[in-house]
Amino acid sequence: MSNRDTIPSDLDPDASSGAATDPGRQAGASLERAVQIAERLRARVREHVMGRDEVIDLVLVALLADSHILLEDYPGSGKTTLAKALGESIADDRPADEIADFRRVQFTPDLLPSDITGVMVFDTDSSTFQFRHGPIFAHVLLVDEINRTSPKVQSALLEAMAEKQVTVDNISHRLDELFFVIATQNPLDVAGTYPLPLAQIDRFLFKVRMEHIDRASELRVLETWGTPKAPCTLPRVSRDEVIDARRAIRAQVQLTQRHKECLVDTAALLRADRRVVQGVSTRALVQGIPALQTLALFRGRDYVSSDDVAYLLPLLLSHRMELIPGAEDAAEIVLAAAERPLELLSRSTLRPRAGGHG
Amino acid sequence: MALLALLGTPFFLLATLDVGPAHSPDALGLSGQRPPRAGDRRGDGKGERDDSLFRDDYRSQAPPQPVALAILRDDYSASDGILYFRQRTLSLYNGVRLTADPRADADVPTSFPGAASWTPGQQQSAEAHVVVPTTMYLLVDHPQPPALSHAIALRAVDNPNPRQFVAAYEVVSRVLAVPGERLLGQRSIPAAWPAAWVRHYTALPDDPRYVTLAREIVSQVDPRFGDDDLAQALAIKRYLEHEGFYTRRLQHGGGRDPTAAFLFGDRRGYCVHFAHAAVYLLRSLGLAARVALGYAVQTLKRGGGSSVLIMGDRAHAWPELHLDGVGWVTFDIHPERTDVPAAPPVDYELERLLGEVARHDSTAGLGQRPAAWVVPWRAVGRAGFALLCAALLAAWAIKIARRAAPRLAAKEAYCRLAYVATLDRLTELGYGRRYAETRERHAARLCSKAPHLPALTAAHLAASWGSRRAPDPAEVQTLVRQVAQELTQHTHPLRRLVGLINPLSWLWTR
Repeated sequence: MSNRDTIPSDLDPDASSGAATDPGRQAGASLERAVQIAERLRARVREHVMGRDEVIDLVLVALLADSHILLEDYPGSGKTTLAKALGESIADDRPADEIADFRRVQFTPDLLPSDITGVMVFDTDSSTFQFRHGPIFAHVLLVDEINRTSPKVQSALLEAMAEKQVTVDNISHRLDELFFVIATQNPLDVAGTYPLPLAQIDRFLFKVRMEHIDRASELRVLETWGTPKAPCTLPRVSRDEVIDARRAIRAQVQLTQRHKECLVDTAALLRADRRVVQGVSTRALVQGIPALQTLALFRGRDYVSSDDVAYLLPLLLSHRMELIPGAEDAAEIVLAAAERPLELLSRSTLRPRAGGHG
Repeated sequence: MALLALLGTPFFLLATLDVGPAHSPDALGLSGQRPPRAGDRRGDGKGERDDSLFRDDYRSQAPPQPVALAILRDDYSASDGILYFRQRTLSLYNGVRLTADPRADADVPTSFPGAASWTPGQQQSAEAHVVVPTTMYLLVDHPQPPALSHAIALRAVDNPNPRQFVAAYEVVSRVLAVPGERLLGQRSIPAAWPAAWVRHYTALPDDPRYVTLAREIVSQVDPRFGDDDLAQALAIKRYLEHEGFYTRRLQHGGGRDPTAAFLFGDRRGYCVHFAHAAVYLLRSLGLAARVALGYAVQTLKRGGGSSVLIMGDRAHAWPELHLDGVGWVTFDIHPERTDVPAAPPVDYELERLLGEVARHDSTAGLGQRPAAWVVPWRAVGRAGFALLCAALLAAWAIKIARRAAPRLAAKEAYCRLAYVATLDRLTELGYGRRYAETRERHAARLCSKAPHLPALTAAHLAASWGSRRAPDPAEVQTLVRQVAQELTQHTHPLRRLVGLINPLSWLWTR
């Protein structure tokens, strides 16, 4: 992942020639806005979370790729801080509706689905049942220790993640278009937990394993802990801006047929690998395309490169496979399978373009 | 003069006959005359070499050489396994020794056949003989044509290979076909012979010891056959075979009569001694006898095939006895004791090859061999070298074309071709992209060698993966130049030179 502090401004719309009516200029303009939104989000989150730049970028990729992310980390390592900072960075430009900008749910074994989706409550004034929105109605939802609750609740949440709606008493309620789940789980303390089955982990774009932060960052955390934070100079990002950015990225970051072939070939090779019991799903590839586009944007490009594919494939696929006992390193298996498709992808640039891209 | 002629020939050969005990060294002057040609008249030449027949030391150092090839036209094998190819006869006793007399021995051909064929003056009887046709191909010059005893007709034939053979002629011979005991009772000298002939064939040295010895030998004969000419002759033959010792190491010295020195001395000698001794003893009994010179070839140990290769060391001298109603009979002496080892076998391969040549086969029989095809290594080598050169030239041409392509290409292809040319350059310097390495990582890895390579790579990728902001060719051109300069700065000249002449470097560009 790019560790650059700012997104390079290769996409400066002024660089492309043409008048205001030029569609290229229009496209450049909206892509430029997407760059600015990502930049603002990143800067704001980084103010609150130190030493986690790569994780922040991955979270933002998941956000802008319209997916969800699962953080696997030890307690007290900044997961909540990160999620909260992200939630606070997105302004609710529709205060009238029932949707909050940030909610946090701590999953416990006795939690019930209605605790997160909401429940029908009898209103004595109107003598009717009214739906009381649960915490799931939010832009950014932090689900702490997702593996501590029963599969019933997990399923309710996962339906919401996939469909962006919840059904209570046979009435479906739409969630916000910007519905982003940051789930966490503790990798070590597994006694009394309900591990997520592969089919449910498959809903998450990434499963990010957060490492301990480095010494300098940890010292800075100690210094700044408890002191009131100076208000961030950058403006918050509105919900609509994020939605627009998503659309711009989907529409305008170039991804060729060759890239898709590379993804499909890698998945096929992984499924054929004898170390892999259950191969990756097609959903993984579907989710991978916007992720690749977002990553390319983060790296200052309006086209997806083979380097993006090489970087993202292990993150995208490792957690979705079931390996035979004894095979540990899923990322290594993914990289080995991706070698030949990646090589073909790189070589394709030396030949004349067949025109099949985008 | 005869001695000079002998020294001049490579084949003055000492025959070792592998014929029972009959081994005979010889320098009988059978070869080495000027080349015989068809129709060449060589009437006499009588007695010119007779001086040299008796020599004390005939040990030859040189290996035997082939002198002639005989092809048997019919299926014939001699009863004792020996084929006698007679060339000359010595019958005239001139007071000192036996010499040739072609007029008397008219049954022996003395010249090579020309347009007209030769017929003998005296006929061998048809009853006791079988007709054996042969064809002779001489490999070295002979003064007279050797022919299987006893020739009755000679006819010239075409020489199938003049570089190989000096003469070729057909011979029809009558070879004795009846056992010796059937001939008992025949007189040696026919009653019809004139007195001059009788004198001619019974003349011998004026030495009473011959008659004395002959009488003594004949006295041992069974009284029932005591008067029979052939029985007497056989007794002499047995006496010489039993008493004589075949050797080539002699100490007789050059006496007036070497035969007497041999016969009444230690009886150690070779074929010439035995032949002369037998002839003198036979003549002392009043039998017609003469010495024949030629080649005697042992055929028992030969392989199959009708070709008979005559080697120089087969030269031989043997007595001939005349029997009335039969003709001249080969009467060879085979001494029982010898100190000469058996002759080496004939080179059958050479014999077969020469036979094929004689039969007009230009390939000398090699064409019929299944394994005759050989790999044309020279042609294969040349073709391989030419192919290699062509491949090298083609490789260099491709390399140059790839290097020059950006300058000739259309504007939209410029970026890609320029990048390919730069990659070619990197590959030939050993900075190629590794397998499955992405282009960006490759460029980042080489950042120290070519700091502008990442920018060039980004421009190339933007162009090939459909960026909306396509790179400006002029900008790319600048980047390419910068990368080239940086590579020149950061690499050793030798490395650049090696990379430049490597014709196949572009194959590894990826």
